[in-house]
Amino acid sequence: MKGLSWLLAYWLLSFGTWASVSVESSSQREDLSKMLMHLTDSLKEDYDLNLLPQVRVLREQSKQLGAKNLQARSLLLEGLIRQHFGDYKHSLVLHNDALNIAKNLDMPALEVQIYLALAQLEMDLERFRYAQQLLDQAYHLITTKVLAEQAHALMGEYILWQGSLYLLKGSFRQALAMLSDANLIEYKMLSSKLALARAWAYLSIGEYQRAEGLISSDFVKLAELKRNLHLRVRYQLMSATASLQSGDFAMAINTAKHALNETFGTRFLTEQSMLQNILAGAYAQLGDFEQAHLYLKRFALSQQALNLQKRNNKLLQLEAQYSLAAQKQQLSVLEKDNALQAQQLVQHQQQIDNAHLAQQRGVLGLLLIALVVGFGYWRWQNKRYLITLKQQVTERTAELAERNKRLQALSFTDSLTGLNNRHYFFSVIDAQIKPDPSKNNEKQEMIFCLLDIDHFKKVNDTYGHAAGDIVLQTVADILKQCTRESDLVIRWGGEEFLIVMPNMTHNEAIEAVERVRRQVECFPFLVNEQPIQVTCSIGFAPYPLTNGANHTLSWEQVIELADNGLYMAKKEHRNAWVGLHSLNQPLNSSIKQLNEDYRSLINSGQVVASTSY
Amino acid sequence: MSSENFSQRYTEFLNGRSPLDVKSFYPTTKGSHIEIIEMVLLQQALFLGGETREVVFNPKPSVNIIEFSDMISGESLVLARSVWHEDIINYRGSLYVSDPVVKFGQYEAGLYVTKRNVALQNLPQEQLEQLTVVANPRWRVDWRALNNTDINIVSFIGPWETMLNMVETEVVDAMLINFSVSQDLLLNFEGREYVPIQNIKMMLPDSRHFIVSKNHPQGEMIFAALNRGLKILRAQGVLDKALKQSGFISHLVDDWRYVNQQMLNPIQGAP
Repeated sequence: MKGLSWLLAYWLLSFGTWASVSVESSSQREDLSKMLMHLTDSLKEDYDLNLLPQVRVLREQSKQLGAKNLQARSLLLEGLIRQHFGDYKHSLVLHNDALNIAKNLDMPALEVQIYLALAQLEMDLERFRYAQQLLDQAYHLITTKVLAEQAHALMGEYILWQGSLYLLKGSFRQALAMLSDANLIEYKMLSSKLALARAWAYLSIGEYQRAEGLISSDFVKLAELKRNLHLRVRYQLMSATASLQSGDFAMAINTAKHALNETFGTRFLTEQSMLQNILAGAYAQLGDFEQAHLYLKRFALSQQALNLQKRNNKLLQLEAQYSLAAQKQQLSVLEKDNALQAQQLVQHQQQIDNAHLAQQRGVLGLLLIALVVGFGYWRWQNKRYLITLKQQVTERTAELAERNKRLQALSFTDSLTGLNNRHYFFSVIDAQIKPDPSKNNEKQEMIFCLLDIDHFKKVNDTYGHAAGDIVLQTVADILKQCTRESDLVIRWGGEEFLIVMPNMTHNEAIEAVERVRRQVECFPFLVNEQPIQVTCSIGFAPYPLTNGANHTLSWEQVIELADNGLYMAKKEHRNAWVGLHSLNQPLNSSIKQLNEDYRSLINSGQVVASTSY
Repeated sequence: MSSENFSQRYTEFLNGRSPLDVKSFYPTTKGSHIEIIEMVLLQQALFLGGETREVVFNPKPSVNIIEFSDMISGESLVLARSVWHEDIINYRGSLYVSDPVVKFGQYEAGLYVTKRNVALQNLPQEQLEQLTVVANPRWRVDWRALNNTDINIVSFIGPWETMLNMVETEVVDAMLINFSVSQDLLLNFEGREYVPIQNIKMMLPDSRHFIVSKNHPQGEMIFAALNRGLKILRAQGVLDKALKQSGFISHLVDDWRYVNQQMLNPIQGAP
């Protein structure tokens, strides 16, 4: 509870302090506002340098209080005073500071005042185009944003400065139109200044009567002239000019001299030079060339000073322009730099994107390539495998065929003699005996001939089986040599050979058989380097062969008949042959019977045969 | 009046005729023609105004400490050529100022560029702020006219020929010159050719007048005769005819646009 009451007491205390501060600050604000009013009024009379310290105090205090409004106004006041004494650079800064505050606080009336001050500054610098732009801005704000009660006074100010700008630019008709009588009536507060400006416009086009009328009218308030030295000097300048133009030289001199005296030691150099020029002109027209010359010299000096001022201002202007240009250049360089960087960034991003894309594409491409390659490889492998398979199959087939062929050859060949064997004979004989329709000649018949080596067993027994084999091989060789290509030479079995000789007559067969018999008989067989005598017996029979009853015998039967002949030759002679020619009468007896009775049948004439013995 | 050989060219132009008999004002001599025409017009006006005595011209140097000092002092009676009104407003106490020979708004000039600069010749009025013109601030009327446009001005005090050379060498883009008499408005100076920016003309915002000395014993009488004569000449259309035939006012630019129209016809009253 104790702690709570303490807290309450503290809160009450702090509230009290805050309240007293707030009261104090509001009264301070009031004081400052009054001070501002006073200063502004004083400034309307004259731009007095002595006002500056107060203006600065006002600014500092209002800054401390956070009274932005007052701060901005004090900035404007100091700017105006400085501007009046030619410190354009600082006044420009002050005006701009004030403008920033005014814009932030949304105080269009103050903004207008600042624009008008800036316009005056630009006019002093003879930068008429900028002055016009500022005046346009002021006019726009007055007509659109400023409250009605403030707008009227500001519009008067605007008209005064727009008129002054026209005067400075030498557009006198425009100045007269702007500073119209109606406006002089409308803006009473400013009527003196407006009237003097209008009078100046008239004097600029030589309408001095109108100018005189104006400056002596009620528009120009004498009380105001009394207070404001600058206004007073201007009034006198107008009067003197009007007098000069009207030809009242004495009056002109009088007024001008009076005015010059007033300006002595002041800063109204422009007015001074103009007054000196009036005096020179007046004295010259009066014929007082000495005085004219004197004032012309003074005029020249003032003009020189003015020109110096102008030159400095121009220099300032150039410097400002230069620094602005430099700033702009820097800005543009920075902007360019930024743009470049942004571009580079974009390019980088693009590059990254591109790289990404390229990567993706690359990966995709690689994948695709890999796929294609893989597929191709697969296909290739497949193909190769197929080809290999096919090749293998072909090879195997060929091999098989070869083997078969070899096997067949082997199965059809007698390994010892190299001659075909009985199997072969059986496999081809049917095709051999088939009558060839294309060859319809006499030599259709063929001879089946059986040959057996005589006493072969004796050779084997005496000289060994190897010797028998040599005999067999040699006989086979002899048979190959003694037969034609078309003849079949078969190892029939053991030491027996079958020779089938197609297209051969009985007589031709006799010759052939005889040749074989004699070759074998004459051939010098060498067994264990010993010459031995070998002979053979041969029987043959023709095919086709019919018995008497027009019955054609089969080739088996013909071979049997040939065998019969062989048997007979062996039995009766050896180293001989027996060849059946034909069967003369119907042969009823079987083949077996023929075998046994071969000799008797020949003798009986039933069988016609030839022998070598 | 010794510069530019006016006396000799005046005699050449008359070619034995009386100045009162001149009916055609087309230029026949080389050089600025308006001065010759003004000498003729002055005499015709005086004659018509009742001053039948012969006019004698006394050539005088045009530079003096105070301009027109001879006229002011009464040593000379009448100036042989017209002057801008604004140049004599402070001497009105000593000078009679005649009715205008050239009225306010009548004096037109073109912005002459080199003929080879085709792009500039067709510069639209909206782009005048890109243009740089050389001008002499002592020619106050020209100076004022240019100052009331968006055109950039290069100030130059020196011979007219040098200014033209600045255009030739492209130190500046253009120069304000009276429209040429030739049919295509072409200005030929020492073999170099210049043409005005098309469809753009400038009004020189002042009037030109003859002046008569108030201090001369016959000043008042002569001034009265001169003004009478001028009124007659204007009524007869001789003044306009002379200005047109001499090429001072060119009908070729009748429909061209003023760049400083507001100086001629300002908006009246409050904005």
